[in-house]
Amino acid sequence: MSIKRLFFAAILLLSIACQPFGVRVAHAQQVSVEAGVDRNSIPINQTVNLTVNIAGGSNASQPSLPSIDGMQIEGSSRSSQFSFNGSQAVSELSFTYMLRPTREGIITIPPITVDVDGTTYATAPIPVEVTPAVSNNATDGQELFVEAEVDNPTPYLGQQITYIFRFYQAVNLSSTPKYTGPSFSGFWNKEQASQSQSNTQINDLVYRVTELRTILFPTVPGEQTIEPSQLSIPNSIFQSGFDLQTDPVVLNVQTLPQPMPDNFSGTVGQLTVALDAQTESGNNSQPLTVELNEAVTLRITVDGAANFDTLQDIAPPELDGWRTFDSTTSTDSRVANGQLIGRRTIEQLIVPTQPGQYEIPPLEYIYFDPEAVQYQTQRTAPIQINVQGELDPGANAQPAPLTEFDRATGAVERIDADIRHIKPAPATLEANSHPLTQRPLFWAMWALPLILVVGDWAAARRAHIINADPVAARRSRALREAQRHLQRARSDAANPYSSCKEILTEYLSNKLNRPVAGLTQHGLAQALTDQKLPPDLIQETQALLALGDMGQYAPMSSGLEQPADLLDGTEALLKQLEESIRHGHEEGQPS
Amino acid sequence: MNYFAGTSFFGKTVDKIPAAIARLALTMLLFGQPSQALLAQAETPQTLMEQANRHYESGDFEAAALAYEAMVSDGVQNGVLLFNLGNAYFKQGDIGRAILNYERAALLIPRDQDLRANLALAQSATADRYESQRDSLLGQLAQLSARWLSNSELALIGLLLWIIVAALWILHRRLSARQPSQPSARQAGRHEATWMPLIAALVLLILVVGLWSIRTYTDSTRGGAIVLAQEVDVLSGPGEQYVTEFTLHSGAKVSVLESRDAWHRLALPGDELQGWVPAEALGLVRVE
Repeated sequence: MSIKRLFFAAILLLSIACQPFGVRVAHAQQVSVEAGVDRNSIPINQTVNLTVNIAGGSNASQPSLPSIDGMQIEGSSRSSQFSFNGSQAVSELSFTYMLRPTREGIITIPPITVDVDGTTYATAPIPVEVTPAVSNNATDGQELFVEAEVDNPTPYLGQQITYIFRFYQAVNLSSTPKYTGPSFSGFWNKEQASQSQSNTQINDLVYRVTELRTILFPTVPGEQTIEPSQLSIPNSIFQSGFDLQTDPVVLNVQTLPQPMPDNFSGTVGQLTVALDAQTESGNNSQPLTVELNEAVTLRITVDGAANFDTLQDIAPPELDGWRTFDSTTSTDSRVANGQLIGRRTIEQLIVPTQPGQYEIPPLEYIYFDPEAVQYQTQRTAPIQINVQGELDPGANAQPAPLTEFDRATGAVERIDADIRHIKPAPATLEANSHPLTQRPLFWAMWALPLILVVGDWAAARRAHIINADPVAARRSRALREAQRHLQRARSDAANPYSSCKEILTEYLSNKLNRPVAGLTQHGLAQALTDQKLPPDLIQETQALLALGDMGQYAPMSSGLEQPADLLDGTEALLKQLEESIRHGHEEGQPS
Repeated sequence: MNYFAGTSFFGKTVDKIPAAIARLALTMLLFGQPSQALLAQAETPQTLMEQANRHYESGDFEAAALAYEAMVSDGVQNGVLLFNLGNAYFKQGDIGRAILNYERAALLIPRDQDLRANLALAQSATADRYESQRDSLLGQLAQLSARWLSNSELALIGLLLWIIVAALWILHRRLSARQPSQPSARQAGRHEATWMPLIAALVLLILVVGLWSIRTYTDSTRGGAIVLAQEVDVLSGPGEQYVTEFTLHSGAKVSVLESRDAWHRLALPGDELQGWVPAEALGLVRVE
């Protein structure tokens, strides 16, 4: 056992030695749990109240009431209150149980456990002495006594009954006694209790009788017990206060007879139902004549004696050719001659949309009459209505909607402002991304137009220089043009041999700035020697020209090179000539 | 919870700690335990942002803001991301950071109507009111251009104009080179036809480059900043011992004139009100 529980047990033992009426205290810091009875000795035909008080704590469970040998629980209640202890608020919960002894003798109420804030507290056992029964009957000569009864101990379910409490007093009281009625669990309590006073004589005593009536409607079938009512006689200089208690009242609530009609409304009582149609001008004559689109008020009235608080509404009939609006309901009830009577009124506005003869069908309301012990059907009379007028030919078959209420129009006004919602994740999201201006490629792109502009200027400048010196221009273009011709010759030359000769001849003419075609072999050799070309290159040039002649005039001769080889050889020779001539110019040879 | 300290810590931390570890820390913060799955999977920025959006839409704005910040620290520069981050801060009541991220988003997506609306709403919630002074003509043009074009878009337009100018120049030169000494009317007309677009493109290029230069210069010398602290005293010098000249509140937009140690020198529009504040009290708008 934990130290905490040992401490509690020690406190408990100390408390048992100090408390006289079985009030036991269990302490835990600021929490206090007490249990006690209002009387430690009661007659068997009376009840005792067991109260469990819980002070402090924030979360207390329902007390766990053990089974009490010799007593049965008749009822329970709960109350709570807050009080201030200095600057602290203290809550107090009270659970009260009404116990009725079932045998005489000493009956011990076992410990009651309560969980408060996760800690379990237990009260000590409480002994109660149960003595033989005592009677409240006036034949015993009592000057003060109470009794309770119902006017119908065998009502039908939902039938109105009256609970009657009477207080007999043969002596005057210095102050008004306090009445505590039953909870009427299992009953619909109208709470329209009426009081009356009268005098009566019983044996040799004259009593003033105060009668309190409460209208009830049983809601649970079977045997029902209305717990005793209590009258508290207050203290006075002549006597101490005490309580008077009635006996419980037992009823046998009967279920409604079977079979139950299909459209049974569930109402028990005596009722009449009426249906009325009236124009706005108050005309309700039969048959009723109205104009097209003239409003008519349909009124259903239910009168009688029943529980109007739970009365099922009667639905107005569905009407074709009529526009119907929401119905309104009003209820008026009162107690007359000890009975609850009332009127339920249902009104509905209807408007005819088509001319013609109409009949509002009868309404049927089925209820159970407990006096006649049978189901009754109230049926209203049909109502004839003659709708006059003509439809507008230009109008649609469906008339324009009737404005039920004024619709206010106006500018849309902002009620509140909030930020606009987030956006979905875009498709292009990159980690470690850089803005455009921080990317090298971007700046490289800025250089590109500049390069183009500069390049274009350089090209134009070069072209200008070349054009200023045609000879130099020819010389500079010679190889490029020869290569271009060679490329063409590769693809579509009819006679590659003559083509090679022409290409080589034109190249030499451009380079030497003189026509070469008409030169002799010696003259050509001399011209090339003047360019400081190597002798083998000169010979190779002469050989290629001769080959070209042979191929031009005797293409079928054997020993000729293949055209492709010839063209390649020509290109190679041109490059060698270009290189050698340039080299000769660089050495300052005359052009 | 003081996000002020948390955000600067997060931003400075990620400069030194790899993004993966920062994401791990964020995961632990959000889910309480390391998520190996997050590290093992090849998460795309899209999935991360969708996760963050889900946090936002479930009402967990704090987690959403952390997730968005992690992506920003990973180097994701996106106007939509910054917009959402601003929303997450706004929902948490952090007007300063909301405006800061809206301003950053405006650098990237200046024409977004939702961004403008949210920025306006957030600015209306700021406590400080001051009149904005009229800037120079070029400054106004720069500001006007900033409302419609981001820096990158302006630079790209400049590049395109530069290419057009170069192409027109080359075309003009080619036509001029081919033109005879006594050109015909057609030849003369063709030559003239290249002048006008060339001049127009050149003027536009100069204007665009000028705007971009002004904006770049302004950003470098008078970078925008937003006050992040709920309230900050603006002092006459970079130190607590100096006189408090005026007070600013969260969301106020200022210009940073100078930075020294852990202090920024700021100015309100018109430069009449200037002073020093701790660096952590401001958030610089310019996206690095």
